[in-house]
Amino acid sequence: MTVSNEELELKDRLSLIETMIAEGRRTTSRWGWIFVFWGVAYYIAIGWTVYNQWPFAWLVTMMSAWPLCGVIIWSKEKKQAVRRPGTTISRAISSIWFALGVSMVLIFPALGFSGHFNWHIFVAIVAAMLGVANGASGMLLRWKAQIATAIVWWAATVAACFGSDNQCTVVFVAAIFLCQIVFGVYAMIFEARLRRLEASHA
Amino acid sequence: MPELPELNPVIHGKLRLALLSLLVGVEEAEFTWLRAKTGSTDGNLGAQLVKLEEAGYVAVEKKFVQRKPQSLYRITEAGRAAFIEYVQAIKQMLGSAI
Amino acid sequence: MTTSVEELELKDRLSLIESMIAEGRRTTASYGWTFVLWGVAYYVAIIWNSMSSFYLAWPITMVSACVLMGVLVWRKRKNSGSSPVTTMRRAIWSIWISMGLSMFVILDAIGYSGRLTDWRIFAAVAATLVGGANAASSLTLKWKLQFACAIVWWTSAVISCFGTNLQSSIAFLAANFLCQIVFGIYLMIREACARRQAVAHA
Repeated sequence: MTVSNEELELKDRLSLIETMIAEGRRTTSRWGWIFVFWGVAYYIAIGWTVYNQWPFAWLVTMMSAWPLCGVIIWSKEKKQAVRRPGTTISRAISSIWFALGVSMVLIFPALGFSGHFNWHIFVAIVAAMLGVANGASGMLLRWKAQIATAIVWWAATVAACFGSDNQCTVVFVAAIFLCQIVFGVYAMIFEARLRRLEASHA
Repeated sequence: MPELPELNPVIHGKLRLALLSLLVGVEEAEFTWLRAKTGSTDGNLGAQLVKLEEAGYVAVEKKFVQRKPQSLYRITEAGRAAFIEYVQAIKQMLGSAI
Repeated sequence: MTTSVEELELKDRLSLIESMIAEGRRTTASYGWTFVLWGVAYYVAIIWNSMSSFYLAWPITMVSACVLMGVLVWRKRKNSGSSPVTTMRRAIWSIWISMGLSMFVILDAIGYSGRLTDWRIFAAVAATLVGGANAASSLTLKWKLQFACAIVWWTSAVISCFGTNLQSSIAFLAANFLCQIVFGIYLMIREACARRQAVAHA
């Protein structure tokens, strides 16, 4: 039996309506583990640079962490029994962090290879960019904890510009600890609680 | 023959269906905006919104803005899920008819 | 089995759902003017700074532009009545507010700390942040033209790192012209056409 145009059109219209209704769902995933992951990656890069003084330590660490993060995300999504349609919020959050990643991949090698590298400027730029991403995500999710991490990153941006190299490093390390490790662990605990709540209501 | 699903009577009412359709695309909406879009009267609109609220499909936040009362309506996750089920039921019913 | 009368009623309900979802998403908001405003603000700041070397030229211009935009947005909202906010609109505003705050924090910090010894770093940082915001918006809105603006800004950032002061300035001015002025005007024309169409169909 051939499917008529009218039937196809009707099915298309109904599918589109279902997608539009599902798009506005509030997202429950927070991806806390990613913050911890990148916090560890930053510490590895800092440690490697300090102990080896190798100029490519940051580039190699970041270029290794990115695909690894991608693989972990892909494998987590594959494990999901039912793939729920994307929401506007999740698309916006992914866009924000993707744009951050691309911006960092472009600007830091450019600054490095052109001879404009300065540790204070580097830390200030990293902190400012992480401030943008956390600020935008926090405002979108209406999540005060994440907005607080953005404020910490912005404070780190200012602090990084003043003081000695060592003070700048301390500021950076402290900001990573608070905004990546502590926040990431908090987000993971928060997500686990949400999942338990959802499971108990199901 | 498989039984056809029954349409949710709370959602099936035309004005209530219109209200949920409007709320699905926005974060929250004022009473006055909903009235303008549906062309309904204050009384009828209020009554239908109360029915949706009682069913748990819509949440309302009442506050004062510049000393004027303002009612903000938002579709709940339960309302969204019920709406999706309603659309899927129509899909099934129309699928059997064509 | 549904009768033809029931079938007609169901199709009628379907059309009602579609029209109401479309009504809810219809927006009379316009954003093109914000791009033009900031494009003009960057030019004003650049000219003021180069002609008078006044160190407060950039902060004063940026803060003034911010205040002016706030006033214009407030007036537009007042005139448009009670139209609701969509998640998409909130996402876009979050990105740009966050970017604006970061830009303000970092450029002032590196300026006042005396670390801004090179115009090229300023241009590279500004272009990267604006590029990132354009990229995040375009991916959220699924709008290729805006992603092209992001690429132009990122290219300008890379040129600023490797080129001379003059080349950096030209790259920044050109990116500003294309991605703020031209893009903003194009957006304003598109929005005006959409509003005329909406009025014609009402």
